[in-house]
Amino acid sequence: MGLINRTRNLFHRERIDAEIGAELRSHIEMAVEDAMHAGMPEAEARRAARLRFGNPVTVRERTMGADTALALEGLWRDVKFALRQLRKSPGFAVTAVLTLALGIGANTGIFSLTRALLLQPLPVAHPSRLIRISLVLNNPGGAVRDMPLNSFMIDSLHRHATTISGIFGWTPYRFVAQQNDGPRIADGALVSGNTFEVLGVRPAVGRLLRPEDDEDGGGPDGWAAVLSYRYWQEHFGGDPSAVGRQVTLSDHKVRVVGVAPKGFEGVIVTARPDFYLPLHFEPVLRGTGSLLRMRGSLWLTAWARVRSGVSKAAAGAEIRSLFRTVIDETLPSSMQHVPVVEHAGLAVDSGSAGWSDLRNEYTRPLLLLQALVGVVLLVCCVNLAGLCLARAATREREFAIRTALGAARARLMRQILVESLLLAGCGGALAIAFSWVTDRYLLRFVADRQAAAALAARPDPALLAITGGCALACALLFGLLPAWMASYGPVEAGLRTSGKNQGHGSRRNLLARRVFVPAQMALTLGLVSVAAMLSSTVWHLRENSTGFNSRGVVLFSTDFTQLHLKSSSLDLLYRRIAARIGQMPGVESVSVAENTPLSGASHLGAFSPTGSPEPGNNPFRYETNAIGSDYFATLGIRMLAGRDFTGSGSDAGACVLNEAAARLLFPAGTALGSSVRQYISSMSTGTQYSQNYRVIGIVDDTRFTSLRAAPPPIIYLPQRDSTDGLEAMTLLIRARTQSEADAAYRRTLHELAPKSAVANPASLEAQMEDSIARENLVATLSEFFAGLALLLSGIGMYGLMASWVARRTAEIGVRMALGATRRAIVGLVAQQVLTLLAVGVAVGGGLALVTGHMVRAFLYEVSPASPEILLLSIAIVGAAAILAAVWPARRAASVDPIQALRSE
Amino acid sequence: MARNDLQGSLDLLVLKTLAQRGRLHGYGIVQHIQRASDALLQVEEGSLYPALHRMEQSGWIRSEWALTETNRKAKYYHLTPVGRKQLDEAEASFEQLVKGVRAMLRYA
Repeated sequence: MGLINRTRNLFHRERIDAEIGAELRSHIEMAVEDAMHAGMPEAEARRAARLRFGNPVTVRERTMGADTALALEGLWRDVKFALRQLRKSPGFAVTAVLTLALGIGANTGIFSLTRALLLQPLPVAHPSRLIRISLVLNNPGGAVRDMPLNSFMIDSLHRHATTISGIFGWTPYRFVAQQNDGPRIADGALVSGNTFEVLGVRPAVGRLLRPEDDEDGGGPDGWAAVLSYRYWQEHFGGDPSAVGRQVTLSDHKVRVVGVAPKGFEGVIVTARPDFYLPLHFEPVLRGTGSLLRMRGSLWLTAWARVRSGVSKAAAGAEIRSLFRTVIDETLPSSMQHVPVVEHAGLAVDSGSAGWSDLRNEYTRPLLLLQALVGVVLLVCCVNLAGLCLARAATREREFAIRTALGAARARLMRQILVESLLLAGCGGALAIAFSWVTDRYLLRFVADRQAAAALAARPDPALLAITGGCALACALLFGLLPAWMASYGPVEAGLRTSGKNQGHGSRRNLLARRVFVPAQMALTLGLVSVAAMLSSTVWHLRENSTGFNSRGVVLFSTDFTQLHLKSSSLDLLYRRIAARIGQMPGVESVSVAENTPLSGASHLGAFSPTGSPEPGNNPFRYETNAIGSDYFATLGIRMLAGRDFTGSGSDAGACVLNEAAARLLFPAGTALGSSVRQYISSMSTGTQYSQNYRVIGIVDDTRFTSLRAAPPPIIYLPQRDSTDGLEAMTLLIRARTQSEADAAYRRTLHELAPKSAVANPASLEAQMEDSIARENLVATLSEFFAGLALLLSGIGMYGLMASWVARRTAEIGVRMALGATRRAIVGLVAQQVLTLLAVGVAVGGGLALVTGHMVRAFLYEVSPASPEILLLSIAIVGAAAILAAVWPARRAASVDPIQALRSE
Repeated sequence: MARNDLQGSLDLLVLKTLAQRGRLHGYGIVQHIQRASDALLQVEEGSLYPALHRMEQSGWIRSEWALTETNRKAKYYHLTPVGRKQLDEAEASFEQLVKGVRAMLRYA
């Protein structure tokens, strides 16, 4: 009751204030009256009453405090006072707020990505009990490959695993949806009928898929489709009557049975499906290429719910132990004991936060960036602490006076903290806007457009909490020490200081700032050296000799699936297209290939020289690439011996090796004219056979899967009707300009395959850049962060030296009067700067070495302890420090001794 | 007496005064305590008013504006039932304290 009353009184503050005033006045009047009664003259009586009463303002405030919730009231007043103070020094306020906005914004920005990609739980019932099951294959390179399962394996696990209450398969699928404005690509997913049941998701309207929908020929409603909430809103205006309607997906009629709940985006973090259809719809979509009934296919990510009361570890152990059972039950017997399968196993991961390809690729970079922005924030705080101390210095006198007048130290401290909090609050608010911008920028680095859209941060309570937490932590970090120092400053000294020294800070204050500046320099040096290492990694990757000439090469990913052509006709179509494009103006050379360098796609094959025994344990060591004629000419790959494919019948049974493959297969150097045998085992049909190729040419090595990896051994096979993926080969056109290449491609396609989809041009150079997008992202951001830290520590150094010079103006005047030259004075400043710098570099150098080792995994042809990089970083930080001190040094040198001495 | 007890004793003095005199303004309370204690106890006005307002917020006393004998407007305070109970408790605990201190002094 008391507190409620008091808080309410806050709003009647003025009335209460007036009442207290009246009460206290009447008290004094009565005292004066009594004294006059006793015979005292009025003036004296008044004086005596006042003396007895004490400071009326203090009494009034204290009385007020009893009536109102003083802490709250005081806080509000502190805020108002702090605002006034900050308005008086807008330069400081703006610097502080911007610094904080950058520091906190960078943290929020990176964190929002980290969270979206790694941490956010799926919006399903008890996400913590969800697991993802994958097949682990041991790759030739020793790398572990995480593969999906198939429906047979999922059924087998369902029958045998007792620790899970449900299991389902999921695969993304791109549909063509007929909309009012024509056909559009729509992302979707093919899922087991029990998926939504296992996830525990409820429909927004209608119903979700059920096991009976997932049958051959569809369920009771025909082919049942579930819409995403977003698609329902955008294309049906959220109309519940959308349920029951027929829509056309990839030329097939399906019936909308319901809408997934708002916020549900599936289990694959970076995909945002708009249509969910049952797995048995897959054979309808893919026809003869269907994977559903192929025993060796690997295409479904498998998800399961752990039974309640069972630990994830127990479920994982059981599922791993079921590997052999599952293999024996599902694979054709001829496949069960091949080396790849022998070395495989099942793996179980937590599925609570969904899964994404990007997660493998970006987890470590994001964590590194998170650490870097953390350091940036620390530099921000140190810088602000320095700024606040500098400001406290100019206010030492003010604080001394206030302390002398009876202000409690705790109150002074509180007031400075309120100022810090206010700055941090403003900075935090601005940071949210800033992080929104940084995220847009960051996502430009993610090569996958769709994934980028899925990761785009939306402000939500958790993110705001992080920003707020950052701001609060900052305020405490940079505000506490100045507050403590200000409130415990020596009152007398503060009061005694006359004009001359006022505003430049006591020795103590300067001393504290002298610790901050090297600390900042050290942290900055760490950041700069990390940035230098990462940037030179990117530089090395770019400057790597690739073995091909990417300039002027434009790629078009064709897709002739829709044409439903026989493979022999497809083979012919590519030849005709290539020939026609070659005649177009501006085109220098054209070819076609199954895979292009650095696209990320790779097709491994098992080979051995004909006549030698079948390769053993890890046979899949050779990249294979089916190509048309002129591939080497188009990419500018040097022919070392022999000849290229001609594009005619003479190519049959021929192959071209790159040097690495030639060396590996024929160490004696007898490759040209020899034969190699390819061992092919089809996972899908279980058949095994081999095929011989004559080596007709040897070409130079090229980078292929990544710029980082050494050129792999590649065996080029001629494009023919049995080539895998013949309906989606890539056209390579070398032309004078990209627009000429594009025009040639469009015209040819229009003439020869008018019904097929038109692909967008992508330059090979862009594809190369995309292949190092991750390295580029980390390097660019670390450069940015290092730049930010440099700027901040420059400001710190400048502030300190400016104060130092101002404090020593008189001393400098005396020295000059005694004959010191300007040079000597500059030397004095330089000595200060260099001392600070030396401390910073000594500490920071150690820091740089430690961080260098921490980022070792990101580096390419850069040693973490490279002396060149360390020296370069020291030079950069030193230059920034010296640059920051130039102005204070000039000011010191231009001190007029007469002026300086007179003002003494 | 320990410093912490000063406030407690001021409350006690004020409550007792109001219990004896019924209705009184701040100045009157000071005068009364001074007179009744033979000028041994001096109440600081600086502490009195915050104490009065605090006690009012706690519901021990209530106040209203009225005219003094000299026709001056003043704020008069009087005890509430809660305040009377509080006074009893404060008196009892003060007696305890005094007893304790006496015993200590005699022992010495």
